[in-house]
Amino acid sequence: MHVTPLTAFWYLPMNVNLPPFNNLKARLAVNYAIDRNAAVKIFGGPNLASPSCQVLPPGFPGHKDYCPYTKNPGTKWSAPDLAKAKQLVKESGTKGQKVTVYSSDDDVNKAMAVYTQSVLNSIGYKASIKPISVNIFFTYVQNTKNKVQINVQQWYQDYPAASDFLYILFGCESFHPGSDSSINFSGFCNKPINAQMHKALTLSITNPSAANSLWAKIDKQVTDQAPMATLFSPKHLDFVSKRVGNFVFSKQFYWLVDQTWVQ
Amino acid sequence: MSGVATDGVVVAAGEHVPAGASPWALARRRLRRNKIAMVMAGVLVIVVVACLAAPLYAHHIAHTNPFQSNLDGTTIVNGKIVSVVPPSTTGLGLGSVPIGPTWDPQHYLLGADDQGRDVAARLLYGGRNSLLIGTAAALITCFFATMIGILAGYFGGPLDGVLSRLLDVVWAFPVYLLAISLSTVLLTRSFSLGPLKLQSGSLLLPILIIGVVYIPYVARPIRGEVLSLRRREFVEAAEGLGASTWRVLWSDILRNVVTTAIVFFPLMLAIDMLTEAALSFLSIGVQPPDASWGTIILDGQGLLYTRPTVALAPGIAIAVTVLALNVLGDGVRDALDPRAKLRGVD
Repeated sequence: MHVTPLTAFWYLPMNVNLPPFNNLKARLAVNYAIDRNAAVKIFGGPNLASPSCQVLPPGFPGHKDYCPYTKNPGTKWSAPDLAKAKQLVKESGTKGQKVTVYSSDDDVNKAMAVYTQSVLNSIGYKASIKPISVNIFFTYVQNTKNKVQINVQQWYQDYPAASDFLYILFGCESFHPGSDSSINFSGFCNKPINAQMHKALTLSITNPSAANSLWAKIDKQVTDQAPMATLFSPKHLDFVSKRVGNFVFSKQFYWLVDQTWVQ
Repeated sequence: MSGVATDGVVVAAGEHVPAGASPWALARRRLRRNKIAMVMAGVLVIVVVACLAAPLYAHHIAHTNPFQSNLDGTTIVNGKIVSVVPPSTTGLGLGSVPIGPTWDPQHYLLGADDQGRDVAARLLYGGRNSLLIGTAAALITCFFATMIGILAGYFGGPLDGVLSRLLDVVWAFPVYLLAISLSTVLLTRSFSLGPLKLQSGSLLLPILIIGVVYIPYVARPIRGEVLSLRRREFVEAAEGLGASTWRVLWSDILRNVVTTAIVFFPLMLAIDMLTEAALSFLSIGVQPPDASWGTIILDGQGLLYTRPTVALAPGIAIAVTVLALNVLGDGVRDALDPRAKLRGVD
């Protein structure tokens, strides 16, 4: 069996243009309240995922360990801080507001939504869930007309560059109100951060190393603005026969079958 | 020989009737003598009381919140602290299996579900919703079916034509297909009709949907009975004596068909509970974090091989309740119309 960390993340995009998540403290509260270990457990356990707080997954260009939303803030997530989350909800003045958690209707996503609903209720919101057919979920939650406040989402790399996560998911140009094609689920558009993203995109052509350092800073800034609550980075599992040799895994293409031999 | 109908309750030929006993008293007496029906009534009472005591069990015995995920929680089994949802340590070490039944009412009597919630507490809370939805939907069905059946059967003509065709339209759809379609549409959008506004997670939605789709199944036989009653001598006599239409409807028609509605009620309650369970199993009935027996079966679907109790417990609860309701319903029918039993009609 081969277990390989994937350059991907599961997260809860929060709509920064709709109450209660148009309030930074409300978004921070969700981040502090989420028990990433519980989310990992729903996904299949520590052999299949690792808790995370930030956008860029481990092992990805520009990734630098960062986790402010934990009992002992630092580089790694350790435990939820419910007391702080409840305090933030109180300070935000959003306590008691209704929140609907959207998810696709498969078992794992729905279980994640039920868990999120439970967390939201525990910090003072009145949460409900709306599981939607997987056939329409992805476009439905993108359209601002559907007024989706928070949903269960996942993103797997398209290409090995930080822009695939940070710019695609949180850049101003990815937000198209009223369109089914608005991959910036949170509707997050922070002009100074967006300007830095443009700078990093340009820099990546001439100086990839400097660009990655800049992306690490952007990752930290986006994480601090909390347009999402990151849950975990998934791992990939390949179960092969003992007779299989030269197992090679690419983060882009996964198991490179053409490199493998069978005895 | 046939019996005589008095206030809708039929007295069987040859049956000993105590002097001064009202037809309803006779029906109660017959029902009390039906031992199987009485046993089932007792079972129903136990189920209802147990479900009503759900908060008592959850808060004072199990000390748990059955609507709160508890994936990282612990409990005590045989004096040891154990995780409620321990990660798998066998095979490939993937996934996690919630604890099974401990048979200790204070610590996860029937085990936990995949969110770490107490199955026993959810079973009781779920029973409340299942019984509430079943009862309310059966009341809606019987009430509107009786009204429609009486109006269509008594007035006939265009009104009967319109109402009967309306019932035909509803009847033309397979019940589950209609209920699933209505649930799917109404659960994705809130329902608003004048001052009546229902949120998508409201329990009133499954109640209304289930209540409405079964109206034709009760209204049809009631309409048929009214068609027969309106030609009976006592109705014609009342009309001949100048009784108003509403007085005839109230005193002569409604009182004679109400027994049919009463007989239908427990049977519809059983059917409504089954429908609710089916809709909730398909995620279009009761919405999380609320529970019903159907949603708990759905929760247990993924645990059938490892923790079958999660799905079996509500399954058994549904089976026992529906059996009790059906047997009690038969007993009520026999009590209100002993001729059917004497004729061997079931």
